[in-house]
Amino acid sequence: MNKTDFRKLVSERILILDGAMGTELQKRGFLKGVNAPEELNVKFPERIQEIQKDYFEAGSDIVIANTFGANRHKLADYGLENRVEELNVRGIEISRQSAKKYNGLVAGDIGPVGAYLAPLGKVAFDEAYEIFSEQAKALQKAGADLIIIETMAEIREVKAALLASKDNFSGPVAVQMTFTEDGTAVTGTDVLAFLSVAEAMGADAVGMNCSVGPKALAKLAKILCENTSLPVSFKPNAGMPKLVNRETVFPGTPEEFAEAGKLACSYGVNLIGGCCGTGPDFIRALAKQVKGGKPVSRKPKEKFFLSSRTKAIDIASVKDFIKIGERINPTNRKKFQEELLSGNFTTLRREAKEQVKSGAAILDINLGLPGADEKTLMSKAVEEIQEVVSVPLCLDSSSVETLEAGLKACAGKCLINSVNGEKEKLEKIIPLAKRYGAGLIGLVTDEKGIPKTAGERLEIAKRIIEYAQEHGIPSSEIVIDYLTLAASAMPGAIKETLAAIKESKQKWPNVKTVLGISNVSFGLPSRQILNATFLNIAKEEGLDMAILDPYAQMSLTINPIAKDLLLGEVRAGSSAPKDSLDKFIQEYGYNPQKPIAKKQVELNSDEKLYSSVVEGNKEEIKKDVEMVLKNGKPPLSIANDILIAALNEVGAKFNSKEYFLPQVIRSAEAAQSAFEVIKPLLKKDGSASSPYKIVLATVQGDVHDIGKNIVAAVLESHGWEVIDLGKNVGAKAIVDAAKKENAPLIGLSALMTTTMIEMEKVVKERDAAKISAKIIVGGAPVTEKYAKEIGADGYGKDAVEAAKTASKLAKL
Amino acid sequence: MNINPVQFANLEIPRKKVLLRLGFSAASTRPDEKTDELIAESIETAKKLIVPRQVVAFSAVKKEGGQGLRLEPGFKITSKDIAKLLDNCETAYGFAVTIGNKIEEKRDLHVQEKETTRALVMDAIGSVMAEELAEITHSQIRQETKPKGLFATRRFSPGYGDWPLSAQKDFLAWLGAESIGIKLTDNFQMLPEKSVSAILGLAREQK
Repeated sequence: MNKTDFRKLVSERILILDGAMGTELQKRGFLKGVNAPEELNVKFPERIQEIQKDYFEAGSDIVIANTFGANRHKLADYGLENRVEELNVRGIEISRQSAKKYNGLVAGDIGPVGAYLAPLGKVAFDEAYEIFSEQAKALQKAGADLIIIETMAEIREVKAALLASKDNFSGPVAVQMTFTEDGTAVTGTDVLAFLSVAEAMGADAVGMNCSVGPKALAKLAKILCENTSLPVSFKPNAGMPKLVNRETVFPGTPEEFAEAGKLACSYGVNLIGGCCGTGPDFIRALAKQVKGGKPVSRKPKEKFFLSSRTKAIDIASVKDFIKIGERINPTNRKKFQEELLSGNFTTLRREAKEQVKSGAAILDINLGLPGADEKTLMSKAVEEIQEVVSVPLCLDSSSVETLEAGLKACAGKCLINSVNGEKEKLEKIIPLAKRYGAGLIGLVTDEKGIPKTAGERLEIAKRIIEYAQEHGIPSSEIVIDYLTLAASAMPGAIKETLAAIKESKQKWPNVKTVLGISNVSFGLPSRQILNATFLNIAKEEGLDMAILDPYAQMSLTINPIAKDLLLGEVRAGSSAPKDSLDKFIQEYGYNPQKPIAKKQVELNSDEKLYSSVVEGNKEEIKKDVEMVLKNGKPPLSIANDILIAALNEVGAKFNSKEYFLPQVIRSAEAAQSAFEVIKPLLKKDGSASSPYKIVLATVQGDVHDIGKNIVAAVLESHGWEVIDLGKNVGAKAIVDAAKKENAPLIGLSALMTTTMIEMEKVVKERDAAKISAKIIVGGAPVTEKYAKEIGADGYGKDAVEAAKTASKLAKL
Repeated sequence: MNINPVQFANLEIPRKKVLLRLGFSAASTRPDEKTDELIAESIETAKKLIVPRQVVAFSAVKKEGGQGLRLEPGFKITSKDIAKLLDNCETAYGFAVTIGNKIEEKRDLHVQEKETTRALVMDAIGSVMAEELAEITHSQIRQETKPKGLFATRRFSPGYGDWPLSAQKDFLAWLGAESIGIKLTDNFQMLPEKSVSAILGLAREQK
């Protein structure tokens, strides 16, 4: 089915989807003889067809094939990862047979990959895209009428699935997320944030399924219907299931399900069916209420959504002036640059948080700095910023690859800053914005450079808007930047900018306008007065948003002297612009800086390194070590007199409970970084033959290893070389490793009474192997008494004590 | 039985309990700003990763002379401790709860990235939330049965007292815990790690 036919069909009549497949299979005992439900498509197709027949008989117009989990990642749990195509193709084929008699449609079903995308989980965006693409290709091959992507819980996974489906499937693609009672997905995305992404990426229908039951979900469907002109699909479950006495009980009845369905249709839902717990009875009751009805037509106001992971803002209806924070930009900020180059995002995260606190509604991210891999940096920065704030982002780069990396990492709908009137830029960036669903800032420059007059700037704006429209981006999703030129360098130019804004707002009222404010005062004193005046004049001309420093206190008034300067106006007794510039400088040129806060007591480099360990300053410590080395302190002395001494103080603070565990580990991480610098030097100058070595493992049968990992971090922070064998390691493997590594020490961890007995086996294995390695043990159920009983050489009740004991044992 | 399934929409991550779990002592610990910030960020992330699930079972209690008891439809508990706990109870309730495996996946990612502090904090949040779910379920049962004049005892889990950890296998089967994704390793450890199972009794009188 092509997209136009689909759109026509769903606008003519309400289409009934089917009810649950999974819970129905369970209820009928149809999962016997298979591991993965999708295997039924091949092994017992008649079971699927029996259920589908019941749905068609009950009134379904569309059945959704049994391909929900038929992706490589999920099928791998059953060793079926190489049968993706077969299981999908068969899934469609058998459904097609079911549908024939009823003239019904068949949808391919795409469910989540089964693990979250990074950074929430471990699947990379591109990996998820590949997984979904493989499935979508199979559904295309099998000739499904449409694809329904459903039960999505994470927005970047929605992006990957939608992208893969649109790239590989020619029919319509509907996408549904699953929400909790408060109207957000478990990962925090609310209904409008979801809509903003799905709509901008070109979904053919948007909707929701499962989760909270029909009545609560209908409320959320209402929000969707009020905000989009796309077809809306609605597939609630039969309430939150209760799992009581080995049975799954859904609290909902067919009647209340049908009632909620009717309500949802009154909001304008186009496709309606049921999820978990809804069987043919539910569909029958629903069909009786709504089948064949004409969908309520919806005429939502034009929107311009931008969104973060959690929420959306509608730029078209925001009343307040929109501030785009410009501080995530390392230009001329040496320390910030150094941090970014070394992979330290402390300042970046802080700037993100502070700007939002200061009123920024959107954050611009510009990471162009010499020597950086801008693409990787953009992707990482987007992830970092999204962890600490929830405002939409504005990706600012001249590199297409960088923009694409940022778009993949973005968990919402962002702005691209920017495209301009150059042919090459238009051709590359506009399709990118369409593909990933982003709004656009268009800069009115082109191959010829910066146009002087307002008229020329509007020409370029027109070119950008028209090109975007031709490529499926409506003019309401475009923001034009009419250029801020420095008042000191280009007197008179400001007038053209203001004229362009005014004319633009008259010509294209729904096209937004933006200016970078700060550039206006470049090279002048008292910049804030000029910036504020410029902003306030521009607002009067109709400026919608500005890229600026949100920390700056912006006066809301227009300063007349600054205005003269900006507009180059001539007053009685003076001639512009030179005079107005002089006058401004005369008035505001004396601009004493606030006294810098009283100087902190200067620490010498040794003390600074010491306190970096104690304070857990992982981000800065490498620099501190370099400084101490530069001052001529030998590496061994740095290790013993500074790092270990500082760790001893940390240990003392831990024992007196002044520090709790996270502080200890942060110090350990800092010391670890410091040791990374001096370790190679220690080896080189022979001052320590080799650092102490320890083989560390969680014993066989035990899969909990956080404790062992903590001990590893603390030991490494003391300069130990840790051979970490991981978890669930057999006695022989541990002893073999100790032998091979010639390690003087073995550390064992166990978290359960059932597994700590393994420790004794390791002791025996060591004795049998006749190696001299000492064994130190620890873990929740392990006591000092037990350690002695099994013949271990040492015991650590916590990580700090383990490190002490280890040092003692190694020196024996 | 009218226990409402746990919904994340109503769940908070109690920061104080996370701090206590990490060894915080109100009297002496002086946390610094950076650590505080790290914990706050971890809690925000964790909110997106918790998928609470709950399964409940109940049965009349058949006593076996102080040595243990039998529950329908054929689950036998051999434990004097439990026999004592449920001494004057006619009904036993069992439950299992889990927060899913997303938190531990994220923790393991932090370990790989050598972000040990974040791993530690994420792990602590997971443990606290699994306990929270157990507490919520316990109090749901308490509230549900109180109007019927019944009093819920404290709860008891396999691996405590004389109820061996190996009893977990039959206990989880009796609960039907597989349906919320809880599996058991050969050494009777639950996966996802952040899961709790427990039994309690309902008595006519409060002890």
